[in-house]
Amino acid sequence: MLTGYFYWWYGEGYKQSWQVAAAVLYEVADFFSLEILVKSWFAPWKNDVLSAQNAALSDTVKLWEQNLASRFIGIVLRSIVIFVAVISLAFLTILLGVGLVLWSVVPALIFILPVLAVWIVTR
Amino acid sequence: MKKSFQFGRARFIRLWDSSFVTIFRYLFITLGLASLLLLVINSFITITGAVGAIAIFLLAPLFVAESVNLFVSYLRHHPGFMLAEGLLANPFNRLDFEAQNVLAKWRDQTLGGLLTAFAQVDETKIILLRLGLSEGHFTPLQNQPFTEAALKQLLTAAPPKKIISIHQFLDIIFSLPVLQRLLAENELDEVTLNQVLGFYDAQHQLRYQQKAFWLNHTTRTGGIGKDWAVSYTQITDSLTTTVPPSVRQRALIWPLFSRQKLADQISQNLNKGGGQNLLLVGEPGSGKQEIFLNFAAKVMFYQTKTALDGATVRILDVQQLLAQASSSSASQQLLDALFAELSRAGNVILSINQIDQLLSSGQLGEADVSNVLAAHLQNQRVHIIGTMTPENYTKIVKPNAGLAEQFSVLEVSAPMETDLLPILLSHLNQLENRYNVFFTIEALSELIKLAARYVKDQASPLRELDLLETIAAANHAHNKLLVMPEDVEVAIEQKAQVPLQVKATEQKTLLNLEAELHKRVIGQNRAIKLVSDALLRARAGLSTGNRPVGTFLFLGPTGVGKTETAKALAAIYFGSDKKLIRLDMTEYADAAGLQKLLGTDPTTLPGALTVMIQENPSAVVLFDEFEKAAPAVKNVLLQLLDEGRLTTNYGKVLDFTNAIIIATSNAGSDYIKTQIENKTPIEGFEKPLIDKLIADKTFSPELLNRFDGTIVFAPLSPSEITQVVGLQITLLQAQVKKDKGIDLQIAPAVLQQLALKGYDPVFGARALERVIKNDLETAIAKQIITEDPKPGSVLTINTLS
Repeated sequence: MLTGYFYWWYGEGYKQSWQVAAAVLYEVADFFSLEILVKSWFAPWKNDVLSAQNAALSDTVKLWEQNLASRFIGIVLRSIVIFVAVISLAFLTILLGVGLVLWSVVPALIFILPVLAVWIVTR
Repeated sequence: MKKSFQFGRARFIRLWDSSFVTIFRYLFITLGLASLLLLVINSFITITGAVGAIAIFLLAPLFVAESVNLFVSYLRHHPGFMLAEGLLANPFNRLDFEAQNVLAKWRDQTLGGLLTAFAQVDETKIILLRLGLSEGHFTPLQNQPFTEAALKQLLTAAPPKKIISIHQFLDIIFSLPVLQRLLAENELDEVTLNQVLGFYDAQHQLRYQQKAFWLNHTTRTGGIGKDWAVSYTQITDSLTTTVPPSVRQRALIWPLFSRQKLADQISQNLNKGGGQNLLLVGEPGSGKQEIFLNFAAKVMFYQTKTALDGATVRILDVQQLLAQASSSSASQQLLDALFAELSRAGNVILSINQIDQLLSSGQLGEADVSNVLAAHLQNQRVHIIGTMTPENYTKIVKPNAGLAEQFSVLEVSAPMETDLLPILLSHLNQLENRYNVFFTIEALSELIKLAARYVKDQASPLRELDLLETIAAANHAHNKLLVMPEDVEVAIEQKAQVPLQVKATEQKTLLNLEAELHKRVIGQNRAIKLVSDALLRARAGLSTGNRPVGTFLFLGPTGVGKTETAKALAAIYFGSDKKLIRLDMTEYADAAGLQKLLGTDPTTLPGALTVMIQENPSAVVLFDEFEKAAPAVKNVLLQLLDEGRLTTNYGKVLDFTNAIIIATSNAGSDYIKTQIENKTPIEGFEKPLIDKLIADKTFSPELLNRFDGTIVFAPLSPSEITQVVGLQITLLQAQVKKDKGIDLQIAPAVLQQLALKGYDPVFGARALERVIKNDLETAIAKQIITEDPKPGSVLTINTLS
């Protein structure tokens, strides 16, 4: 069992921990709709575009203004969410990176920590 | 065996899962987390070196407990981990950990002991109970020696597999001849056993997948910003409903078995150029909605791996649409506005359940709605998935080329027979918990078999699932935990209204069918014997269920008992005189006969036979004066006699496999009379009569050959007419007793008089019926008015005048 434990920890287990890290990042990106928001970053908010045929110039200008406003709202809101998403992902990446490093040293820590504790008491 | 590598690992997993180790695990976790907290506090407030050292020391057990726990969790789901070729040479190493648990419980070297061990492991305990096998069944096998070496040999001979699951292990054990016999005694066969074990094995694997990491099943939801690129949809919101997120289970967990292909085909079809709309065509209850929801779930959770992933799935509420519009034009405007909105929103899949309701709604006008829809169906930005029945597809969509070319069609037929048992099993857990009942496999197999044979007004699998619910509710009401095949038979008897169980009394009736028929039909000994024998064979289960129960052509002059035999059969075989569908074929003699018989439209002209057989699929169908039917009608009946099925013009399949088909004909009556007068026995002129009917082109040889029996009814002799008089008088006496409470007595002279007056070589017993009605009933009426007899008194008829 002991051989199996070490074999798994640095083999399949390590591979799976990477996969878990990737899956967590993927789910967070999905939660913030990162892909959709980036693709539609400059699109009008809720696709709210007004159009009119044979409208007077003044009306056309008003429509253009409203459409621009809709686009502006879309850009602002999406930018905020994209910013929060990127920050969250960066923070998570660091956290998961630490976790992966920790994973590599856990078997060693099992032996090191008691020795360290004894050393602290006896120094 | 017990020294095998895998057995050792299974023992470690059992130890790890034991309460003793679990208590320590949680203790280590608590102390470890407390230590971590302490070390964090240490960053802000300096604590003593000893306390810090203890905290650091206690982190080690936390790491041990949790890292070993992760390893055990992985191992549990991957029993083949680290099993090299050398280890696999020992077949015991190929058994998974649940199977190893069975071996651990196998205390003696007997077959009974091994099966008892299976019955003690949760995973197989339920399966054995479902198969109707409890520990009591294994007691006789306790004396049957079965050594470790024999088991090793059996496992070695099994099909090579790296890992043998506990279900496969049980399957291997059941391949032993002694257990095959045990299965046979419990009315189980190998195919059923394989289906049951296969189902539970698949469920087991799915449960593992659920427990394991979601790595192989990463799904997407679209997230918080999914709708931000889609325009406002007020009209859509008011007319449609969304698919609940709970359908995720359907996409990932609920199996569709062989029909998964259909669900996958939906996305393939919708992705094809110009194929943005699709119709799922199938009988109600065939599972169209289930297949659609599986597809919808895959779309919603980005599983189709096509451009459809992430699309918004909406279900149109047709009733809401019709309710919101006050007129035809308003409905059309609403529909226009809805599609304009959907088109603007983009990437929408609109499901219209029972789209035929919308297309055929009187309120909107069929042609108008079809045209409005046809115009919108060309819009590439909206996908429409509709469901409808084959009849309505043939009636509404097919004739409208503009509409038909906008849809690709997927036919949803009933699931394969081999799928039915797993489908029922997959619904059992919830149902059994709700009603507190337990279905045995024997009962489920009986349900599948009998439902296919006797319940024809519903499509599979809803037919079986509805029956399952009915039976569960009935057993629950009677506080009966175990559902047995008899409970299934009772439920199907009630639903199909056909006697199924050959009970003691019924057995007697069947064995004496000939005598029973003779209670109502006088003479015709040979004809009655032929019919009785044919039906006895069918009732004993020799009939295949792919043809009608029996098909007979009764030939003979009028009034000789042909129709009476059919009526008697309906009463004796199907339990009621009302189980007779009688069609006078003179009404179907013209060119429009076939349309009148089978119908052209489900609402305006459904067809006489179509309506009657759907209401009464288990009945005697009597085609009176068959020779007069139009040639087209006779031709179509060829298929009925052959396959027990007919398809109407509008696509409805009629099932006659539970019916007895009787055609009567007067054709050749003169020939029969001449032969009888010449004292030729029926056997002697039967063949020449048939040849004559073929030569006269009354019936084609193909048609005559398809009947189970062409039975000649001879004219009644004067003595037989006297017996008919007796029979008719008995019926009349019973009627008078019931209506007036009077005991009617007829003098022997009157009986003689009736027989003499009623004997007519041309009209047979029909003339007698007239005499009884005109003369006897009139005489009784006169006497009742004259004497005014009180209930309980005796009324004697001494003369007819």
